[in-house]
Amino acid sequence: MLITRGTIMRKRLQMILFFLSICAVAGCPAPPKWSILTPEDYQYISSQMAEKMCRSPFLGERTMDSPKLVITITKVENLTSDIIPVAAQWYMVARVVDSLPMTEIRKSKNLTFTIPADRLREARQKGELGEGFAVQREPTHVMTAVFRSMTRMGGGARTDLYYCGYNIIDLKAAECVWADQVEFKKVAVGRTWD
Amino acid sequence: MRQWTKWVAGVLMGIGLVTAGCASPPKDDDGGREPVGTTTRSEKKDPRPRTADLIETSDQVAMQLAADLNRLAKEDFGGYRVTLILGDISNKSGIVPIEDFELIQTRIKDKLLQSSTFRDNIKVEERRQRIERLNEQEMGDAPEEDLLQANPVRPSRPDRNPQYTFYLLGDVYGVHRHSTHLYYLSFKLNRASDGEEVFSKQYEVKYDVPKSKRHSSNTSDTSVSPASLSFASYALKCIPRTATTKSPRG
Repeated sequence: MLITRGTIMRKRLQMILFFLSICAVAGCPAPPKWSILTPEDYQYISSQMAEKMCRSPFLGERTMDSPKLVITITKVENLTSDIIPVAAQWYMVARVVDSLPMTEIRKSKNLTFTIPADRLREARQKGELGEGFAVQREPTHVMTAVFRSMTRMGGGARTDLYYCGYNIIDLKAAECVWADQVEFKKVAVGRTWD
Repeated sequence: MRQWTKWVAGVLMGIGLVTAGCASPPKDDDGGREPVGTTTRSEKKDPRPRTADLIETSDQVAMQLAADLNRLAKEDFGGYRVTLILGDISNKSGIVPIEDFELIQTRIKDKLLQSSTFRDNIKVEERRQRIERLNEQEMGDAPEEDLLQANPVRPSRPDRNPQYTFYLLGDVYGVHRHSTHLYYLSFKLNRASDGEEVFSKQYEVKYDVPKSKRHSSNTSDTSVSPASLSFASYALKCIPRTATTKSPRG
């Protein structure tokens, strides 16, 4: 059998092409089978919101002479089609507040954060806190979030639009004094959606 | 000849694999998140309003409403701060859950609140049920669970002057015939005292979405497209200055 130079070249080219094809398949991942929120999404949402809050006129316009605000937090109100664990609901609000420069805000913005009512109730039930702990707690505002979603399906695929709206609400005046949102879509292809 | 056949088959297989591999949605650092302004394949095949169109509607309504309310605050409200409340949505779309329109209504409110001028002129009040729920969380269900011990009386709802209180209402109509789906969305601002409409903005969109699976298998993505998309102009009426009592700013 005569092996020519052309034959060797063709075989090499075939090998390269086959290798590149395998790389292309491996490099392009399988389409996502679900459109639910992942822990990475929780991190993304809270990071984005923390940035937005730091840059917000609500904080920017306040000075040390502004009326004192005492803010508490509650967990996310989940109105999406997705099941968000309770821990994640707290995480996404707490992480936003924890990312703020507390010392600076307390001094220069006359704004403080106080322990959440649920957390205080839980600790009191356990008997871990003294009798006098937080008796003078009097929040004027509450920071909360409402997550909503819209779902569209067709052609064997599903799209969920997630709208994560954060607010600070004046408890006495019922006024929403700050609001911002993070919004994005997630796409799932195939039959396994959730 | 046989070698050439193998060669061609190899090339075709390679192209096929590359195409199949890259046809799937890319998963990058975004974690599969896509901007809300895009329209995905599944949305094109769904007879309900596309989310990108609804987002655009809320942007348009918020922009127009902010401009008009700021103008009214200067011209008609005499420098007094009016109250805006999210009101009822009448959903006669037939196939779209009301939650979709509540999302849009909430988005309008959140967009409005991002304007400092708007916040100075207009107080946006939370829904009654929500504020009561938040207060209940703070106060506890039973008196012994009262966490605000320094202020044991539940805060009462602030008094509003109905002459300077406005509700943002929504009306949605859907007409469905075979593969055609027509939607009409209307957002209005009505005064609490007499129900007078002081702002209105409409949005109309029509989609053609083939129903049967065998039909859709023969059609490409471009088979579904909005047949028409239009914004209707808004109507604005003057508000009389005959209020007997006015709520002070702030």
